[in-house]
Amino acid sequence: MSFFETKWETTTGHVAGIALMFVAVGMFASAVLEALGGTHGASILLAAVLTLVPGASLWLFTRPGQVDRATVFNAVAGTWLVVSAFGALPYLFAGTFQRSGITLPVVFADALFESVSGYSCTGSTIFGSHNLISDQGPGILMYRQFTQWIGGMGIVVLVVTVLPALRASGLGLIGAEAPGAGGDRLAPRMAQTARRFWYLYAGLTALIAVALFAVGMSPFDAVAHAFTTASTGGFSTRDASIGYWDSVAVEMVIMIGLVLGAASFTLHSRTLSSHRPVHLEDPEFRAYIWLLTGSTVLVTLLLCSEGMGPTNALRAAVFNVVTLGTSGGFGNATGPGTNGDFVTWAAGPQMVLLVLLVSGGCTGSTSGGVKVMRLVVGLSHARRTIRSIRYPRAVLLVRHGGSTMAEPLVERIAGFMIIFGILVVSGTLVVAALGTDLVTAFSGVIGSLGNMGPALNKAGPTASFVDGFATPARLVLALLMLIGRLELFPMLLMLVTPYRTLQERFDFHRA
Amino acid sequence: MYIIVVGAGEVGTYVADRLSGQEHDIALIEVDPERFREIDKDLDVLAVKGSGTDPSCLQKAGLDQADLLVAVTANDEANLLSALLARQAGVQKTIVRVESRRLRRQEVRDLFKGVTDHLVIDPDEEVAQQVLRLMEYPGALDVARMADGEVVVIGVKLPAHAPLVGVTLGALGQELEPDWDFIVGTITRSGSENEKSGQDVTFIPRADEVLVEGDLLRIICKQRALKEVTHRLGIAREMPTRALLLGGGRTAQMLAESLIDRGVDVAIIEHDEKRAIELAEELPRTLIFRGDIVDADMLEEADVGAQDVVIALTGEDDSNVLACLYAKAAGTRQQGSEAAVKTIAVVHRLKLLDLLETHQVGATLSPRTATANSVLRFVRGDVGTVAAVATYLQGDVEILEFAVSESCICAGSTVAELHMPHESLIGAIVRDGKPQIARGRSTLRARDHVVVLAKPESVDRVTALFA
Repeated sequence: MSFFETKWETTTGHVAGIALMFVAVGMFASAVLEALGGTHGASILLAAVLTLVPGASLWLFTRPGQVDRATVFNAVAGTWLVVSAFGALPYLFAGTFQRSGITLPVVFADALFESVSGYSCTGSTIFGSHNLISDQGPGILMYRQFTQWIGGMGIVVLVVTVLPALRASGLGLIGAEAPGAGGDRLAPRMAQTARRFWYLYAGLTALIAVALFAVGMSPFDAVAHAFTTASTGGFSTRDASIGYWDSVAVEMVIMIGLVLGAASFTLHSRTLSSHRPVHLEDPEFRAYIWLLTGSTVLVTLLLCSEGMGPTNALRAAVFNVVTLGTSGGFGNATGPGTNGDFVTWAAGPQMVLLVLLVSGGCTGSTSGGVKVMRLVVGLSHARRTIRSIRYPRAVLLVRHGGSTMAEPLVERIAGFMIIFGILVVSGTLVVAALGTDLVTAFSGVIGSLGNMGPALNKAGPTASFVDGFATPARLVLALLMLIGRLELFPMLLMLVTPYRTLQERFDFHRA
Repeated sequence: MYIIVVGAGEVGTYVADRLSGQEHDIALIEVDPERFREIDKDLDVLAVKGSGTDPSCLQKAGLDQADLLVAVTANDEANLLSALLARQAGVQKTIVRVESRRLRRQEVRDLFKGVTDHLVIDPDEEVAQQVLRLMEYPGALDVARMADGEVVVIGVKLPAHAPLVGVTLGALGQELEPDWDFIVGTITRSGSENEKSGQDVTFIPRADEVLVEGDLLRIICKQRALKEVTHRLGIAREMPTRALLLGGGRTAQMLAESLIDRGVDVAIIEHDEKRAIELAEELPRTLIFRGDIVDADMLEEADVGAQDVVIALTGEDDSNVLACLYAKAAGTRQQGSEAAVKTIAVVHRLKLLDLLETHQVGATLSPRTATANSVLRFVRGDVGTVAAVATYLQGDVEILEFAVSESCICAGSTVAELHMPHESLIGAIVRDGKPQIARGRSTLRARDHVVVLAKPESVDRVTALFA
């Protein structure tokens, strides 16, 4: 048996290999762009090659092995770690984050942070007044947008589209990456379902790009922002984010795009196949729209009471409510201290935004956060608990919309919320201990865990995360982003699995 | 009329007994040997042991000469099959008890195309509707709607504080002139009030009769005057806002659905855990408890004393009555008035009725009366002029609605000229949808609908009058 016919059985390796090849494709495209209009074309090309080679090798020399639950979770978590690490290469080689007085480990950490923030669709950034986005070449900028786009729908979902061999376990893979999306099959075969999700996603992105172009963005900016709007990511090619355009029309398109991205893609698919909008029939989407509307009204009123004019207040409120409530994280502030810069608002409206940071969008969407459905079920469970003390013998069920939630599911959701709380508290503790003030630490941790991006105080929409957080604190946030992107369980399972079982699971079997 | 009743359960036995008392020939088919022995011993009917789906058994019951088959076993499919066999043998009228919604669909009904009359009944649903009606007319013991609801026959036990106590009917009539809104149809007076015998008597009162506390009155009144009537009777009350249902069967579920539609706060206590979860899933706005209805702690947890109405619907008479008594007591304790919690108990054994009355359990009914009303309408409908029938659990009086035909001898004559049988009374005349209380001088015309109250022994004579 020749060496080239030997295949190692490792699901993680195989999935990660394919994922890296997809990432490499994005890097090549960025290298071309950079070669046309920037100075780091060769560096990005080098990063692309260094990503493609290990990716292709893994793909060629491994095959997916057993697909029990633990393997599936590990494969997903492992893939995201590997992709995030390789995703930092273009920034490193292009010297994006090299500044005077910065040591090499910090440059590494910054590149990794930007990569994780991109792929996890968070949108927090290293760039800031000391290191302007406008100084970067088009390749690096587009690569940054691309990382969010590929991370938004889920890199493993992308892998499943080309992995028919995974069969039913593909459902587990998608489920591990985004539980909401994994629950509903759109087609008899998993690969078909995954493909349909990606077609919808690509279609939505194209629509947003066209719309943005129509309202005045350059083709480059339109595509770049379509990438990060459909994915509810929030990276921008401008230092002032959407505030650069200072245009209501642009803001409208971005908001509609974000809400569509934060709605369940299963609903989009059903709408297309039944030729009528089914969104408002969905209890989660209805609750979501109420949440956004209510928050907007509340924030507008609070801003007015502080003396902001009604029109300005409404514009600042609706954009920031939508961008944070969809886990997007764009800003419409034209500069620090202007209307849209919510860190300068009073505490009341900021608190409303903090609640939105926790909630996120709907299940099965590209958004982050706890998700509206979990929030609704969690509240219903809390109410049930209180009622059961008054009526111990009553049969109290937890409902979502018209249907009853199965008890194991309710328990898992309750567990999810508890773990989310624990992560927020312990994360805040660590980040605050590393020298960040409490409001910045607390909101930054929620924003990172929920993949929102900007948060309060020093982590606001016009700020760089370098200003608010020390380097170790930024790495903690990056870890939280990955944990949050995979909806806690896969990453935690990997982290808490004792070393020995981990070794057993990653044990390569010769075939 | 020759009638075959399949299934000697609660409904079947009651219907057979009532019909045989009215000179119809009844064959009753029952499969359970023990039950068969009981009916064979107790009832004046031809009892046949066997299954209603067994053709030879139906033959034995006299299928060839039967005019009507009533299939009321607990099994939908068996009932339908019995009826189909009857239809094949040329029986022109069939009544089947069907609970399943699927089997109530048109496709199934179409199987009976060609028979003169086919009726599908569901005793549970009828009980639910009766309870609802009782709640709509607060304070009533029973309520029957006639002539498309234009006329209401309401049964009320006269409380001590009622304005009508001590009033003679003659004086009442004077007060109501010229256009009466209601008329007292019958009075049922308990034995102690009555010197002649120790038993309750039901009679159609004359003008000199004085109303006394505790009289059970059956009053025929116009729908729109109901509020005034209940006020005079001293029972006018608010529509309930909180209801507690004891037992979570089909009836309870149907009732809960209707009550929720009317904005009533509903809670249900159900013994069976699976059924309780099922109810909780199907009735999202209802509080479902899993527990025993005679467990005092359970009843307290369900706020029994704070309810407006407690309805006991389980199959166990004793539990129903006991729970209702507890609810009454708890209501008195918590709300300070004996009438605070209204109770409605479903009873299945007639003998319990007296006990209930002495303990003031508000209103009682049983699946069988509801069904019997449907069956009786069918049997009376033989004459072609009977539009509706209402009977009561005690069987002391029947209410009939006749359509006056062109050829009827009564068309054109006044009520006084009709010489109604002694034990009957024309209560209301409905002309073009407008009701009026009948007086001696009222004239009947063709196409009028007439609501008549009659004791069972004179029903046939009354019916003959309108034929």
